[in-house]
Amino acid sequence: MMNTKIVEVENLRKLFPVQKSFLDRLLSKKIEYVHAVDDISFNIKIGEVFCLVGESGCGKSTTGYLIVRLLEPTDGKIIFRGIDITHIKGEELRKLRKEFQIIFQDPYASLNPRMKIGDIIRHPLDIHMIGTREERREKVLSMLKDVGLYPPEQFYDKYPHQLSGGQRQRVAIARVLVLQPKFLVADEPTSMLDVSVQANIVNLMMDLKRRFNLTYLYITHDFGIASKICDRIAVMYLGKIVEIGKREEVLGEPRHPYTIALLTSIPGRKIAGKKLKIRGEVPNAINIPIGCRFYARCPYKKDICQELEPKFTKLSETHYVACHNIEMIKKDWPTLF
Amino acid sequence: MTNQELLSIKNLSVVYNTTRGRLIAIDNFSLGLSEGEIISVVGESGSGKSTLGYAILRILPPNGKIVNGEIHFNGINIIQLSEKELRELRGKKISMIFQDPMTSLDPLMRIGDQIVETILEHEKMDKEEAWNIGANLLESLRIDSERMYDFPHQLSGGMRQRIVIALAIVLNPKVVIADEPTTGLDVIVQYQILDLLKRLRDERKISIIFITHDLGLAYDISDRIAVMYAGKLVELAEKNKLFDRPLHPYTQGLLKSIPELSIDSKNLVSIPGYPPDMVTPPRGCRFHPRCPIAMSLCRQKEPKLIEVEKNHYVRCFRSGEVAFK
Amino acid sequence: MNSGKKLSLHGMLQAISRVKIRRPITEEEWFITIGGSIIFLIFMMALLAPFISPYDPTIKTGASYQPPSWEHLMGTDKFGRDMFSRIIWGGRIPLVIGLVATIFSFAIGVPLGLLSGYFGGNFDRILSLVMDSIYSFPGLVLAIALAALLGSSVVNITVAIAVIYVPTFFRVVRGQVLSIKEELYVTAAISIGAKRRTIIARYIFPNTIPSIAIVFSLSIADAILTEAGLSFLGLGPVVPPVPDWAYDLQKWYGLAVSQGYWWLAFWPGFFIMLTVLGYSLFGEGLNEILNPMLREV
Repeated sequence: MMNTKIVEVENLRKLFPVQKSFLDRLLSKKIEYVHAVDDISFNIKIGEVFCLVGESGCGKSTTGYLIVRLLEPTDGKIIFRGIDITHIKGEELRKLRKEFQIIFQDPYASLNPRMKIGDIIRHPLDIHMIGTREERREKVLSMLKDVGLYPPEQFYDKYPHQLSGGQRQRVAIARVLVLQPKFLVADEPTSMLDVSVQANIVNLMMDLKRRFNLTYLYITHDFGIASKICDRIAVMYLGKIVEIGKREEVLGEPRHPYTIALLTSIPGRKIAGKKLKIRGEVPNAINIPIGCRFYARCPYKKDICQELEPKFTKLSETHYVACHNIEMIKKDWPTLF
Repeated sequence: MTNQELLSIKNLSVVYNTTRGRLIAIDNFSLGLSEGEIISVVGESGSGKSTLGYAILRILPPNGKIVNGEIHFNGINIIQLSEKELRELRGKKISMIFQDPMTSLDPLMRIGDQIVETILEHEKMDKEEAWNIGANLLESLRIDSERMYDFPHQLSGGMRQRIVIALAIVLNPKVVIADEPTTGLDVIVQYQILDLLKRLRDERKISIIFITHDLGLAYDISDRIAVMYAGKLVELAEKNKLFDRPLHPYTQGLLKSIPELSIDSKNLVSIPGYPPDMVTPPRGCRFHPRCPIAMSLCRQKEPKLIEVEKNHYVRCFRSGEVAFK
Repeated sequence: MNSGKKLSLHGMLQAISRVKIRRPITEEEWFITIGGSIIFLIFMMALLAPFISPYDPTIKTGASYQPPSWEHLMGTDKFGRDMFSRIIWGGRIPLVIGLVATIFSFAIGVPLGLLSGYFGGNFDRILSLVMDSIYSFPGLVLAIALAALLGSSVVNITVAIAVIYVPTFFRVVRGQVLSIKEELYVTAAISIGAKRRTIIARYIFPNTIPSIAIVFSLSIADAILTEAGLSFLGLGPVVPPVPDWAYDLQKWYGLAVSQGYWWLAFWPGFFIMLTVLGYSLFGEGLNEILNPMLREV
């Protein structure tokens, strides 16, 4: 059978050591770690848009960086098109980078201020020695057109600081697409842009997805955007996936209290009249509690939640939730729409 | 607008001198704020919304200048006040909450000391008394008064913003200007901050000017919404009216471009183009290059702000026609 | 690397031309203009010395100790040599030593700073230690020691001064690299598969150029002062009767004070100061203009 999965993530973990003061090191306290990503597994099918949703610090961006190998995983496995890329290095990794790319959140920081737009987009072709000089220039010009920067000749010689945020993000997309990757990680690509421009960029990305047969891992904190583009959603909290499922399942019948809280706190007119209000803020990921990580803030908590970390409960072939109290939630929130 | 306006801005214009030339950040802007009212000023980058807050408190950067207009607070014209009188006004009558809480907090001082210092700058009392006022205030905002002993870096982002809010209201001001106070906070915490601001209005009758780029947030918190585009007020109405019947094409576009959570629709609408460069804004109506229903008149003449129905003001020649579907 | 340099010059010109629009010239731009003019004029003076100097600076052309007159614009010295001609010729050695020594320091300090900052580890630790220990010596003391060790020829003095300023370039570049390598555009370069060589040459180095330009200008100023200091202490590279500002200054300042022959010490001192001022102004101006622009970018 043909493999329909482009990315498989198994038990992926990333721990960052905590910077300690000189005094602490002298007293040789044991090293502490931030559990940025803590044992997550999922896979992404060819051609789909997979959304990773969560608040800041939940590990969603770290997950994206790990998959495109900008960070070294602590543990677990990343399989890309059947190849284990978890620990590949050097030339092998450098060559493979053509296939998977990432679009960063901050278009003001992701472009080299000392390079012209044309050079920025052409550079990946130079690096991988694709085409002749003339061909590369042609390719860049057509790419500029593809991302909606007209007239391309004019943009070719500009510098990043002469462009608006939206235009810069288009340049960043073009830079990534000249290599004709199969798979793209989009790390909150619109969160720093004006609202009226955001949709332009998202629509452009969806357009390009169809034209170039791309697969996306789309990372966002905005459930609104996720609801417009994704096929499947995973919700992360403190380094863990707490709920994963098809778009209709997670949005329509969310079963994790955190998902419900996120969905119902979106400002503006409400889909359902009521809100699930939760207290407090995301705690730091250094001292992870033994039981459920959401325990301290959860309105549905029971005794067991403090002692036992919930495992995934399978609600359908595709919908999984890590919570001890699904029945109760089902009763209170039968459906959101 | 009502007669009992607490703060009224008339024909305000603010100009910045930049390296690239003169930039009109706010152009002939008028707005009235009643007691206990929350008005949101919504706009994108370069709309002039933040400048508005700075102008009201007269804390514009050195290259910014109010070139025209009046700002009346309780009958006094703020524009004519001396620096000494302004110090009396700031904090005590009108105060401001900034986007980044760390700009308002001193990283080297305990929260409690900062509150005490703020109080003592304006009131004569001893330190202990001021400390107690601070502790009581925090409790009334449902913040643990133990936080008084913390330094800013020991607090989470949301807690810091709550402390900033407490600092802003400790002298019982009548008006609070909140400049994107929830940007950078997560949705859930954002909600908690909105709740806190609403409680200030309900319990202390504080009027709030809520500056934001997010129409959804504006809807949740405010009574009326003012939409700004490129330095101009383009639409002003009660929030439900604005949401039900937006009359300016820009407001329509902005409303449509909020990616609303839904299962049925995968449609994302956007406004073409980008906000204009404010040094060289387009002639005529400033929105015309991005407007789908612009006509030749829009390219030549600037529309006036007119009251198309009661308390609903729009600046558009074709107000009411639908531009974005 | 050439393209990077071109880019930065382009950026500088852009910065300067952009601000010309509808705005009076600011303080920093005055700094650059005045500093640049001073440097230019002094260089031209030294370069065109054979054509503009009225007399041979090494032989007697008038009476001894003549105060300034139309004949001898800056007076004459003990041997009846024309001070004006000596000033015109006397700039050659300090200017050349200042420039060449700084170019050497640049050529050694910048690459080492780039590598040390980018790769880190033990290489960085050892190199930083060495550089810091050189840096911690007062420049002049180190130069004296080296000059005494090597002997004071023009080449040796140049080498001695070059050694002093290597750590300056090294430290500035290394510091810049440490922050630039954390920039998102460098991560982006890694993600498109750029080699480390490419990343250093096209992403990191070009972004350090503004700081380097500033350090370069200020180092020349400093190097000229150090050369002057060495000459003043009699460790200079100059063998009489070859004219050199600092040599003349140390030779005559005693007489200038005791006998009131002020012109003998005033003019050499004035020109040393003027040159140093030119470079300092230029460097400071660059600093003010380039740094805000970088922040804006």
